[in-house]
Amino acid sequence: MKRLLAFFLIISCIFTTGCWDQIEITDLALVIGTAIDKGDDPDNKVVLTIQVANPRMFIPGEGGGGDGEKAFWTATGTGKTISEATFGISHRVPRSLFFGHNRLMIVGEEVARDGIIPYLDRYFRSRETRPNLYILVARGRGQEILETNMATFRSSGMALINMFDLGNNHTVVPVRLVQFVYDLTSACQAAVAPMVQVVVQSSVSIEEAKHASRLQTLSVKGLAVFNSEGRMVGEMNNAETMGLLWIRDWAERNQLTVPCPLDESEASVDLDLVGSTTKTRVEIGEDGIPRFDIELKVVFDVAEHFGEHMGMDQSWYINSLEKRANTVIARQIQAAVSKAKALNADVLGFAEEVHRQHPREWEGLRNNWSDIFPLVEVTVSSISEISTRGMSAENPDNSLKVLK
Amino acid sequence: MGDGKISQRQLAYLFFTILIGTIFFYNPQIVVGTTGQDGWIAYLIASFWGILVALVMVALGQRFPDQTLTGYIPNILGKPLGKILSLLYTIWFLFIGGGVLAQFANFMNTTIMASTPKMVFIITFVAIAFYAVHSGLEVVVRVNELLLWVIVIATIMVVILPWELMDLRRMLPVGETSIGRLLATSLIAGSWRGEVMMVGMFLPALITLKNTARNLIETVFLVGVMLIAVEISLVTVFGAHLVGDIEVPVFNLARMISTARVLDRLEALVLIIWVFATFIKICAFLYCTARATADTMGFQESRFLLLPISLLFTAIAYNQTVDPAKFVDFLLFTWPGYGLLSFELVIPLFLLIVALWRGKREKKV
Repeated sequence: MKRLLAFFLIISCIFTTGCWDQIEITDLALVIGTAIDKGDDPDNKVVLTIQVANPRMFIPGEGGGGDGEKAFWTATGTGKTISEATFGISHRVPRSLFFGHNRLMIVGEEVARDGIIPYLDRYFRSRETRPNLYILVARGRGQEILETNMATFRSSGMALINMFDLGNNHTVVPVRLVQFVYDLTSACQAAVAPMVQVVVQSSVSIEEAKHASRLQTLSVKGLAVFNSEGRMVGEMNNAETMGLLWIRDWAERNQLTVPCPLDESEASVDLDLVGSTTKTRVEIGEDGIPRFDIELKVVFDVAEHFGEHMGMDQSWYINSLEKRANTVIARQIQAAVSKAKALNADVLGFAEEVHRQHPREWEGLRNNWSDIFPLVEVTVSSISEISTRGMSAENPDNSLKVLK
Repeated sequence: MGDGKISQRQLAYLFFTILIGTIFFYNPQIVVGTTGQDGWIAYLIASFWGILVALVMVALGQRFPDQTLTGYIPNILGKPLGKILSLLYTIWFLFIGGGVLAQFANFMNTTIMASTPKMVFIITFVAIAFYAVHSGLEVVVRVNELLLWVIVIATIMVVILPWELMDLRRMLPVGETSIGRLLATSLIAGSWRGEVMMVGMFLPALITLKNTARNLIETVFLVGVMLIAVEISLVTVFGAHLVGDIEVPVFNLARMISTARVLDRLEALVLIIWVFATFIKICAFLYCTARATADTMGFQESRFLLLPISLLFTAIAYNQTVDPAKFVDFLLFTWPGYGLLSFELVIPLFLLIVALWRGKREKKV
């Protein structure tokens, strides 16, 4: 009897593998990016667009663009809420939508300007979506971003993910949803998110030019600034974004173009960022208004000397470049500060610094920070250092003008 | 059950698992939610409460080395009053044990198994725990010796791996929360740590009582260190104000792990911690309830009580599932009073004082 029971127990193992509510991967629609926009219908204000990847197209050697098989497809649904819009999509998609690989939250500009807060909840409450996804604001409609068929990458969603996974690169600033929400809910009550737009592909092959009227691609440029109500109130351009990166100590891979000390109007020298550290010192003035002293230590390499004369062999030339770098950094920081002040959005993390360095005084400033922030003074003291000249000392041409 | 003997190390391991068991469910959310980035101070004070409980229980245990907590209460307080208190302790074990199971089932539903009925988790766990405890206490502690290492390694991984998203400056400023608030929060956090009170039911199973106090203090303190590490990781990744707003912060912490695009989606680590620790914890509560019932009713043997008590556990766990807002309310306002301020610290302390005052010691039968 016991043996019989044991036998049946062992045999039953063969038939009971796997989960009872499993879904085959071919029945799943793997969502890699979502975009939210505002609809015209007042009852269905949320327009959700999803981009679903075709996993076969991402396996090297297989699929690979043959037979017109697409790398992705998009679908759009509308509803009162994001979840309702999701169900709207599933009426038309014969697969189970899976948001576990969703790594993009693209916010249409209209949504961003009207206030983003109601749209955040779903992304935190969902079991599948992870709050470490990237948030970005579309110039125009978010839907267009996901619908773009790029020449440079298989799918626009994957392209953006890839771009952000590389980290801070020049003024491309990847912002994760947790970081965004942290900034929005911290003492600063303001946050930034990178902006993305559809642009015409800068160069196409003759073949491609024949088929499509105009090939499109995506461009990530500038930062959208959100204020304490979660509304997008403005944008930061490249210089202001650089300033923000210096202040928040986020700069990773970056470059600085400074005018050449000998020929300021014509020649430029390009400096590659090696590393930088930023310390913000807060002092509370006698009038109760905090003053910020931003101290930077930056190390550069020379990346390019775009000019017609020598100079790299001279110590004073290098020193002059360092001083010019300091000036450019200070200008960028002040640009970011004046933009943040003009928008009255403390995206520079100043409130958090006051909170950390002067917790007692912060109690008094907390409730009227929006009145005080436009009044704060910022001083910059940066120390730049050029460590190498790259792989060449001088422009390799013997017609260079020799320095006197 | 009750026949086998366990070693000092096994007891310390057992209590490490018991103390760490349910702590990852609601505890960080509540503690960081009320004290912000100063949560670690509250945890430090909570360690003190836990150590106090451990010392009181060991002092009591040394006066009655062959009896369990519910066994010696009538010796201290006299028959009618003592029996009533023993019965109350029995009910405490039953309800908290059921609550642990209910929380576990609730969180399995919240996190990954959304559509699996709660009863599946509850019955599976009670059945395995029944089997384990029925085989004897030494079986449970032996299993725990293996499981604890998995739990500890998984916890360390969850704490360290999201390092890419950490910003240590989010721990500043230190000491922003007022002392009163820290103390109040430490009572809530300490109620979890105060579960070390259950050691009163295990002391007679020990081979010797030598070093027990030191081992338990170390255990309570190490659990505190682990919790502080969890708190620091949570605050540096999410920021203090966000931790209070998200459900199951530790699980969310594991969801944030994406190291070098290789180590990704490690939520399973948290589930390992939950499943293993809840299992051991349910075993401990089942054992305590059975022993306490036997002591209160005056039975020598307690093994035959396991089956009816297991059924009670199932029923209580299933019926304790209330809405999450109400449950957090219970943890905030009722649990400290039900835990540290009565059954875990105040009553044992009172018992110790009475025992000292009346010079009560174990009567040799």
